[in-house]
Amino acid sequence: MSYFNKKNTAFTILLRVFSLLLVLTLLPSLPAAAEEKPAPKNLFGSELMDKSETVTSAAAVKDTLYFLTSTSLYAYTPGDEKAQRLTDSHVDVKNEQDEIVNSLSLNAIFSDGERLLGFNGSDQQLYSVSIEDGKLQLTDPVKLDVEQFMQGDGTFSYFEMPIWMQILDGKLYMKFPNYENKPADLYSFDLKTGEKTEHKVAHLQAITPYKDGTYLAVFKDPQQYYDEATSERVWPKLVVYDPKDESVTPHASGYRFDQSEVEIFSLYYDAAEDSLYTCTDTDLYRLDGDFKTPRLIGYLPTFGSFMQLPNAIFSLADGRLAILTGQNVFVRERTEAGLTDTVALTMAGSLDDPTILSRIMMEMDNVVIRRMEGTEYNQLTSEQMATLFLTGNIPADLMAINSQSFDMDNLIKKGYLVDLSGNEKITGFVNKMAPNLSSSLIKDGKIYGLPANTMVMPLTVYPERFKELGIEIPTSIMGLLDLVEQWVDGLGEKDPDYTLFSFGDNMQDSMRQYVFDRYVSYALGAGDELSFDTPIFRKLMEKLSSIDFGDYATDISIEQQMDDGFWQDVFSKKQLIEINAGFELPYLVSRNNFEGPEEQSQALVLPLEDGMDAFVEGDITLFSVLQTSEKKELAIEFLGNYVDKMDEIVKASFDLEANEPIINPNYEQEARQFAKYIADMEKQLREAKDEAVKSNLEQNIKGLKEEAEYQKQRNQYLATSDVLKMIHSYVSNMYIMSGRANAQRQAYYENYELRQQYFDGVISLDQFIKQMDDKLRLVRLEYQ
Amino acid sequence: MFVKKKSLWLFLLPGLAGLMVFHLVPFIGGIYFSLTDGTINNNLVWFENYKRLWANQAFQQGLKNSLELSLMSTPIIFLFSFILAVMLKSLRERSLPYRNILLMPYLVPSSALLIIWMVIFDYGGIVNRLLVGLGLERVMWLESGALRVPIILLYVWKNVGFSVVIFSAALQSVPDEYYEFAMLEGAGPIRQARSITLPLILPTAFLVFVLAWVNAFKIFKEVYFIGGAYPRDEVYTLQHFMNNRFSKLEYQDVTAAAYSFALIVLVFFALLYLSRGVRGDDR
Repeated sequence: MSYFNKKNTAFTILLRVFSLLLVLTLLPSLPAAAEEKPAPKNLFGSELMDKSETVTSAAAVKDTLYFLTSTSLYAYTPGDEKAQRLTDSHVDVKNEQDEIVNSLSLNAIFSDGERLLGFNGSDQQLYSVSIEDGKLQLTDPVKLDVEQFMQGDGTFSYFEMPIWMQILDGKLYMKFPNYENKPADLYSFDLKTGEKTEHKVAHLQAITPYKDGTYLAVFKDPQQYYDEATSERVWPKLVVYDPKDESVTPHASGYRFDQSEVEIFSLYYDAAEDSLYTCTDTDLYRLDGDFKTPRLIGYLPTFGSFMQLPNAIFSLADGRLAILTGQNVFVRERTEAGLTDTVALTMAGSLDDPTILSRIMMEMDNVVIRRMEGTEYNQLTSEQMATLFLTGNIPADLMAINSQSFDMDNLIKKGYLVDLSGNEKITGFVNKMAPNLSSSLIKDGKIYGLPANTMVMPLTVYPERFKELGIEIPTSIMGLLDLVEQWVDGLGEKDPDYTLFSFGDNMQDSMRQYVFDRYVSYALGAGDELSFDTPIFRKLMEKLSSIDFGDYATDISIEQQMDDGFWQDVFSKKQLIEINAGFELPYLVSRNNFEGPEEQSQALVLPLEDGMDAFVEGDITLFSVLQTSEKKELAIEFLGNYVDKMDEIVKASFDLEANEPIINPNYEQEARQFAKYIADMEKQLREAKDEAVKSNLEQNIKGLKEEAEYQKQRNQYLATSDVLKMIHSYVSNMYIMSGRANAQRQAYYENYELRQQYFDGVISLDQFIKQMDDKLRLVRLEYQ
Repeated sequence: MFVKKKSLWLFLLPGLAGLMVFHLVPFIGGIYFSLTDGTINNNLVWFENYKRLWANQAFQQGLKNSLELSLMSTPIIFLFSFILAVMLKSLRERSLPYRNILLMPYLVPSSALLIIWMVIFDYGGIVNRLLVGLGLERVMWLESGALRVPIILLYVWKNVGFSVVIFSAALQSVPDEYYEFAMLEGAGPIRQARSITLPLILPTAFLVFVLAWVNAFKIFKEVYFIGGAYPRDEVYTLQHFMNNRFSKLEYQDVTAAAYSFALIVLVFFALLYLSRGVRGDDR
């Protein structure tokens, strides 16, 4: 029979048409399939951290996981890209004048599997939670007797958040913070009636349903950190709690939660798998079978700097796990499959604010930062670094290097740091930096690091206070010494409400050290060569020696050190000048934000004498990529994202042309918070019966309202143009020391006994100068 | 012997392997480092490091001070330990407790000894009070060039016991009859020491001298403890230079300095060794 008979032909044609139709139908979905986005690894990115918002609790209702934050209610269903914001987490009650008179907010949310519930600590009621017309609805209140959780007295009482709150077996359980080692700290409440039951158990820090009506829990007595008999650490342990007989027995596995120094109490038991999940501050573990050996199945990019939440592990409808922390919700696989596409970058050294690293990791889902062992809390010393580089065994991709403790020039010269100029974000940022600072990062046109932390130690003055006393602000260190002389000669007695400095200690010693340090700073800023045999140094010493400090040169006695009254007196006075206080650069800006006009301070860089240049050294920690890294590309990308997540004030501080005010993104939220404080106080005032309490509250409310009005104007900006100008004026006088200068500076500080001998009169000024200069000469000779 | 008993190599192998791995290989590796530029790529620059090093005044200062300190302390320790060993020999069996007392500073960590020394030589310490009592001026032992004195004294005090033990062992091998004969001939103790003792124990004396001199070059931690990384000019040793360069990643300078110094020591000892008598040729 011919293939081309009628029957076959028809069939073939039909088959071909069908195939064509199938292809045409599938074609549009192919790109979509190819572009299908991977499931998110975290649900908020850095959004919550950027807004200073925190997750406080979560609850699962069917396929949806709800999250309560400090301001909002969110929801996530598998398939969503991120958590979706539903509504505010509070209900404002307003009066006829549209003023907020009360605010009903939720402290925590729960689920009985079918509906969402919420608890308000202020009125101690459990509510059914729903959303209508985009607004939170709190209905069906059930009053709970939470007497054990109330702190304070009368009108000032408040609800102290329990260690954990969870619905188990149809009841709401709460465990209160048991620091007094009470025998019972667990209570349950009937969801319908609110009937309370006290459970005769204590110190169960986390709990999850187990088998046959029992629960797995983490037992840890917070009073018992070390075993007195053995001096060994007492770790939290896995126990089985049976509510039927209120028994708590160690689990047969003897499992201890000792994977991390930071004690985290989170458990989730999956009955279908017979698996237990737990986490530390950085890792997620799974235990199967006998629960003896934990398997690492995921990383958490928190560094322990995140607010840890109890009972923070939830099962998602798509089979993955959600792990709550205060700043984000992380989604992880249940097995080691979740580790396969994770790349770990190791970092040596530490940053003062590690949260920025977490922010970056939330945007770079596949990257996790691990700390090099021994550098979790400390910077590497120069000897440690030298040994690492010598052996070539540097188990780090990124390094945070402090400019004052290590010779950056040398590291760059020897080729240990990677050129970052290829990254546009980094280049864009560094090219805008003040040249006196960027010069330490740039060599031969290449960029070798980013400024991670910047510590400054400015001389800070309070201009308004100077005005009140009718004194001029000094314009040089010599001028400062003149002011000190006037102060000890009688100006200090003019008004007892004022003090020149606030340290309360021996002013003579403090001024000597300050003048020495300023001189060193100046000399190294001016020319990289430190010598004390100069006319200006001798002039400063002569001036200092000529001041008769009298009683101002008295050390604080031991009795005074222990006397709170003495310190109250010292700190109650209004200081005119602050020296020897070091802080991060952004604090120079933010310290003024919440202060009144009289408290506004100004950072100054004073020359040694009028007419001279002024210099101040900057203590910068530089963030770099090591040449020995096998993941250079990723590490550079990470640093590029570091620029994105850098504090806006820091960025603007380094850019001398960035004078536009920086808008406060949390302005509305802060204003609302203030309104809430006032509303809460007004509610307390209405309920107060005692006249003294009423009077106190009225005063507080008046003060708060004035403050609110003042902040309304000031808080609009994180930094105003004036403040930025002040910062730029300070930054333009800053310099980062070269290796040679740093070595001299270190030699000076190492020989503080020599300086002390001069102060004590054991050696003369000439002897001091000769001996110190001899040492410094040696330092410079080594650098030939 | 080695041809006949090849099994000997089996016994020697572990020790030789250790020597190779922990001494020979690092020694050769160090030479290589001294010829590189010290960057991550370790490019060869041959003798540029040595040229630069020898022109460096800090290196010159450190080398000079190390040589001076060692040349000052070695003869003192040599003489002192010899005299003490001879005295102990005369005590025969009763010498044991004294020998132990002499050895004790050797066993105590330097940092512990230093604390005592700093108290003794402090501006208001015992030594200065003695000086004042004798009508002399106080000396800033720890803060001036006079620091060399307490440093050398500490070195001698700490190491004399060890040298005494070595001398004592050598003195045991000198027959007593020689001294008896010399006494009969009217030779006093000094003549006996010069004509009998020293010539017979010359190889051992050479060993003591070498050890004392080499150990003297290691005078560093005591000075570092008192004066830090940059002490006074008079006590800034070669080790200070090397230590400071190491912390600044200048490994090529450290190795070049070390090998320069090793060369000097090698030449000096070679000359000493080649001189007759040290090898015992003239016995």
